[in-house]
Amino acid sequence: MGVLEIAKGMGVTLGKLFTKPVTVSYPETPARLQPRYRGRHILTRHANGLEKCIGCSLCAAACPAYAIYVEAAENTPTNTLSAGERHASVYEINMLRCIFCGMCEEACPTGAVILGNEFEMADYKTRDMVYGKEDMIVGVEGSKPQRREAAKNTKPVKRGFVVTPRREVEEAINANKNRSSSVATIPGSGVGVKPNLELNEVKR
Amino acid sequence: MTAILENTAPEKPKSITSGLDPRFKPRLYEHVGVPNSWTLEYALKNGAYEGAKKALAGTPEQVQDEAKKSGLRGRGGAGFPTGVKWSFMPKEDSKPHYLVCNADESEPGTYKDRYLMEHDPHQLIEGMLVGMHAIRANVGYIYIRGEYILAAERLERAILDARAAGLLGDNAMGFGKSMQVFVHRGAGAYICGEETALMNSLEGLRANPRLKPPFPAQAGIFGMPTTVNNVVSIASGALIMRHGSDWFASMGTEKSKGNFLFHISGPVKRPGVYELPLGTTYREIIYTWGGGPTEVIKAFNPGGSSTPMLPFTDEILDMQADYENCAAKGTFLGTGGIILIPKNCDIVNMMYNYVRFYAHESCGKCTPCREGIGTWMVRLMQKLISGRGDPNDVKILEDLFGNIKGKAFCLLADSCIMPVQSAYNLFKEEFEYIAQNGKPMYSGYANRWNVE
Amino acid sequence: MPKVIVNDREIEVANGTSALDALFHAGFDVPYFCSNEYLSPVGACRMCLVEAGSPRKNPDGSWMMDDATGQPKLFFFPGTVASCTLAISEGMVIKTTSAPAVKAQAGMMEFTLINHPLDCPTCDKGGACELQDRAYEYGYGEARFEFTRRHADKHHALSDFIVLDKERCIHCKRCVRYFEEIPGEEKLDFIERGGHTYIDSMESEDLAGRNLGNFSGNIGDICPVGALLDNVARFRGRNWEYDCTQTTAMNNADGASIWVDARTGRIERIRAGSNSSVNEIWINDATRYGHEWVDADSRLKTPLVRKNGKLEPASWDEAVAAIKAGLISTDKTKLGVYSSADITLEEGVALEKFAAALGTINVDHFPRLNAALSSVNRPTLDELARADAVIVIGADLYEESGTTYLRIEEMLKGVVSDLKYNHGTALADLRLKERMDRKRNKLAVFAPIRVKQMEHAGISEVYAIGGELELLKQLLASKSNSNFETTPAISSAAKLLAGAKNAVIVLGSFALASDAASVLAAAAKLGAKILPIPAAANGAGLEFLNLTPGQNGRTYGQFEGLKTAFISGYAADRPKDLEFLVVHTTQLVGAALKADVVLPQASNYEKRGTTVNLEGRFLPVQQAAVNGGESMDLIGAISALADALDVKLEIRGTRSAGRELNTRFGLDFENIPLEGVFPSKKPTAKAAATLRFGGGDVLLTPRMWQEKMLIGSARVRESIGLDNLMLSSTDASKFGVKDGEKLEVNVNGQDRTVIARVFNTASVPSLPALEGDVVGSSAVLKVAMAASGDD
Repeated sequence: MGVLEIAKGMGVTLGKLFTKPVTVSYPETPARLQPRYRGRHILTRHANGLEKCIGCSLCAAACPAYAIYVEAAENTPTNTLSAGERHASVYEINMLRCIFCGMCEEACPTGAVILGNEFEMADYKTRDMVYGKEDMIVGVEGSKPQRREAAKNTKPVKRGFVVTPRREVEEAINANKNRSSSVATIPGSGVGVKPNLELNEVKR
Repeated sequence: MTAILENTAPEKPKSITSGLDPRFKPRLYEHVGVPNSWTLEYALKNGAYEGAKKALAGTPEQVQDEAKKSGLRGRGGAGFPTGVKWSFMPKEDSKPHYLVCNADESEPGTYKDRYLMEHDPHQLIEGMLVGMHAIRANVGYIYIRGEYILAAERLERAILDARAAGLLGDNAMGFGKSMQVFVHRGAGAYICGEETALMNSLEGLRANPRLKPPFPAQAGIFGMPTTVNNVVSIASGALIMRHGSDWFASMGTEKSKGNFLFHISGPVKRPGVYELPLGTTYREIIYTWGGGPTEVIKAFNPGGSSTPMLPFTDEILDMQADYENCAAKGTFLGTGGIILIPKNCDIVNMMYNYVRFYAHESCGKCTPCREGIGTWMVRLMQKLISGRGDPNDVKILEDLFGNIKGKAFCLLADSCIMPVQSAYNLFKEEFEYIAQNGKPMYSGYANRWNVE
Repeated sequence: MPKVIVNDREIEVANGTSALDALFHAGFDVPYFCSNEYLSPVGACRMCLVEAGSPRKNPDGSWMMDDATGQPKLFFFPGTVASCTLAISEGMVIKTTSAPAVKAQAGMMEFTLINHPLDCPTCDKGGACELQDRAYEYGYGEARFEFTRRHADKHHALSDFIVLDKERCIHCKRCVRYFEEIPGEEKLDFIERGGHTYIDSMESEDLAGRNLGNFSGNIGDICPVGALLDNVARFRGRNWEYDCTQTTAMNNADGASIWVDARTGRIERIRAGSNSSVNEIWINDATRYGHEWVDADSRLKTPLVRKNGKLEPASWDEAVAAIKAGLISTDKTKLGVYSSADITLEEGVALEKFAAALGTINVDHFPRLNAALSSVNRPTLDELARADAVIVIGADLYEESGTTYLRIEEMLKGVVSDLKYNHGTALADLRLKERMDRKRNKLAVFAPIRVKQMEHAGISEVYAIGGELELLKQLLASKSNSNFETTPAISSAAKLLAGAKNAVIVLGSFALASDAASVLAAAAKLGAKILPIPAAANGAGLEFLNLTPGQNGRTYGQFEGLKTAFISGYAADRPKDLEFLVVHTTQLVGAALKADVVLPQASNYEKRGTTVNLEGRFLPVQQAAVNGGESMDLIGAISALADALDVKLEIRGTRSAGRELNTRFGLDFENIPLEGVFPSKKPTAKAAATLRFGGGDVLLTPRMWQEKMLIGSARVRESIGLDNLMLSSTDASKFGVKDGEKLEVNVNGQDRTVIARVFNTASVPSLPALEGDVVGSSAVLKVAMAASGDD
């Protein structure tokens, strides 16, 4: 090994001293996520406001961590939540068990569950880590503790990251924002119904 | 002694195989068209019930032998020897036997029974007596197509007259035997022409074909031995008893004996029913009797819509119409209902009409017929004729033939596939043309479906 | 036996076997939808297409030879042939994997799928669907059909319990055939034809008027797709999510095998299990749909203790303390311990030992008969199905014992589906036909009311209530002397009996309720096998235990002189003069409302044990994954009681009870096979005087739905509607009742609103008749209510 090599090595070290650091001082500075970063799930809606989830439980079957629990119920004329005859009355994901592998998204026949980008879900109680439909439906911003914090301070939800969401997530969020009518048609049936946009109370 | 007799016997006269033969005289349709031919009075004057008298005087076996000797084969399409069919009935059992006359004539292009029943009902009733005697039945049913209102009324009337005259009833014709004939009117389903579906319908059930075995001769209507015969087969039975089996056997070719009702439809000068001996050439039937086509013809169905079609060539025209010749050409003599297909009529259009009919008439029991024809094929053809087809559709169509043919429960599905497949084989270019270009190769009759 | 070659394997199967069974026997597989083990083969789905050929014989009996090979020449059917309707013959060759056969099967699968909606994610059959499985195995994998498929009613309720999705139907006709062939009542048929064909019931236009009979639920089990679905379990879970337990139904004494499907501790669905020698694959609707009470709000899940005159929830410890306080001063020998007879043998033996430890003679099980059922020569249900004469006396089997009813229907057909192959029962038994001729003259039915089974019996008669002994006497007299003068029905039944080799007499609750001992003795003289229907689910098993009162002991229902009692099961009313009552039950009704301590009882789906069905067959009861809260079975309740009373118990669990039973019956109670077993030794059965109920002026007739099912399920209540009280016109005028009037009837201490139906025919019994839970229990017509009117 000669002097030249040592000088080369030192040169690299010196050069790095003057570049911008990779680390960020999160959470003061927001972290920048890659668009395909897989975080907390989003339950999407059709453009007409109906939930895409049909309660088929295939995500639960595909889940390698057994993190998902679904209970289904029948759509009635007075309580139509989804297109078709069946909706999820209970949809729960245990975020402690979830490994964010995205198998649920792949298994979903209707594109109802997609993985978003949120990851700041640290909480105090185990039962608070079980996310229900009301915590994941598209339009809900932030995780449970973040929303709790926001409600307490009556401030908007503060998230510690920035991201350009991938196409699916962006489409789902935009579709929900532009959700048009209050009367929707069940695809294929030609029947106009008033979708129930309120989340059903979980009955156990 | 017998040997000498045989040697000295005169040479058998040549069999009658043309309607132009001076020896030929129409018998089945002898009285059709004559005023009041349907009355009992007229019938008795013209020798009706003579055959039945002869039959009832003998044993059932004698009647069966006479039918076997005559070479009479079923006129409903399948061509099974009638005498042999009668002999299948169990000989010594305590069960009641039934004879059912299949007058559910629903095959497109077939209308021979209609005039027979409308104009000469007593001939059929006489035939019923002969047939019932042959199979030891005391009850006979005439299952008549619901749309044949006049025929049904005349039959009812004829039965009442015959009963009043003692020809039917508890002591029919004085032979001490109870013979009853009833008319049962169908509700308008093609499938009721299938014998087991007919039996279900007769029992008041849904007209689905039944599983065979048991064959009707073992367990038919109400679970009892039953024989189902076509109207013309039964009427021919009466004629054979009246005129003798030799008279019947003197007509026709070697294995197809007797007189036959050919009927022509399509663009021909004189469409109608023609009673001719079997073995008459198609040329004679179409040109001499039918008066020749009025348009250029490309093909014809020889025996109703269910039979594979034959090209309209000299070779085929000079063919003698009988069971064997038709079978050799891959088709059937069927009911003898010749349907001429003009060249100017696009074959796909024509076949859509066929498929539509069979799709409508499918009973829905088995999958290939219900889904294959009733759902898929009819829509595929519809797509083709409406000009939205693509070449792949023709490939699918060809595949469907294979997936349906021979796989269905009864013959209805095959009856649909056979003519369509034969048309496809003969005129493949027309199918490909319409799939490729979105319009038919021949534009005649093209506006047929615009009405719908 | 003829040899058949399937693909490359040569097998021997019995004559008359279908090609479908032959190829399954050989270990091959073809798809099929319309065939079912117990239904006639029809060849409607055309899925089981194979190539088949067989050699033919010359007229002289020798085989027609193929000159090229020197082997018998094979004549193949043109194209492919449906194997389910093809009978095998000697030397037949069946090809299931040849190119034409594979093409035909795939092509047919494509046809089946073109009109089938892609509902699998929302369909309750998804994951357990024959069409789904077969489409994976045999389908093309992609669709060529590009048109819109058939659209039809997707939610068509056939009854309160069955919902039909007309789009999903593949027209296999199993359900239509089922109704005609198994219970013998035509309820469904195809409507329309061709591509428009759909299934419907012509019973009634509106749901309320539709009655699909007592066995309708089975069509959901046999439907190969999700067209006919269990409405009770609708969307409750996916098939792979259920915890499935095969056990024995204990709502009646049939011993029918069932699957209990539970999810998150709730029973969501019950399906029929397969036990070819008992229920085959059929169960009645009460067995199938009568489970909602288990998870209903009315279900007791914690002990209740009376404090300040009110029953309040408590822990088991508090309950034990309360019992201790209540019973501490009692003479233990004066304590009455009673249990309903739908408990397992293990619980029974625990109760027996407990009573012995207490030293009380006041022990009983209810309802029960006053005779030992094992004292007569009982047939098995298979023998019943093979009998050449069956005489049913005093039974409404349609309601009382569904399995017996269906096995008698099988007897009428004359074909018992028992052909055993490598794959089990024949899939396509060619002996079975559509609309088979029934041997109606082999069945005689006598009952005090017009019962459903009479429609199928060649000989039937309505006799006067209580006339069983007289009827049996006349039968005997008429059998030995053909000139004996009696009614035509009795003399033809006697003739039937005299000419039969394997006759069976079935005795039901009407005949046995009051004096089973004399009736059984009289019936035994007729020389036929006798099948008495037990009064409760395990009546035939508990009779082997010491569960009847000793000399001067108090039977259930006659509590005079008792100061304290423990009753397990549904009791009507608190016995009078009792100082302290402990009730162990599942629902807070009847006596439980007036008890001092109420203990929550585990349902029969929640325990492990053994039951004995009406044949005397020992069947296992398995514990399903059901959350019963703090409820306990009888062994648990007795343990608590023993703790309170400071009694030492030999049996403190199912295992120790099983060990005790092992020695008595010579069976391994840990490992009773699911299809049941007959024990090698039987202790002598105990019988005691009949339980006399209050009498009353209404005849209670059997009903398949139990009281607890009605209480626990609004759906069942609605489907049954108000009960009908059948009255003759004489009775109507006696009580001053008009047809259609609403009345109150006090049944076992509970008031029930009923509708009076006045009949003017002889077929109405001599007492007003009402469907009830237990025959022989008391029911009093409250005429005063009637007089005041209901408006």
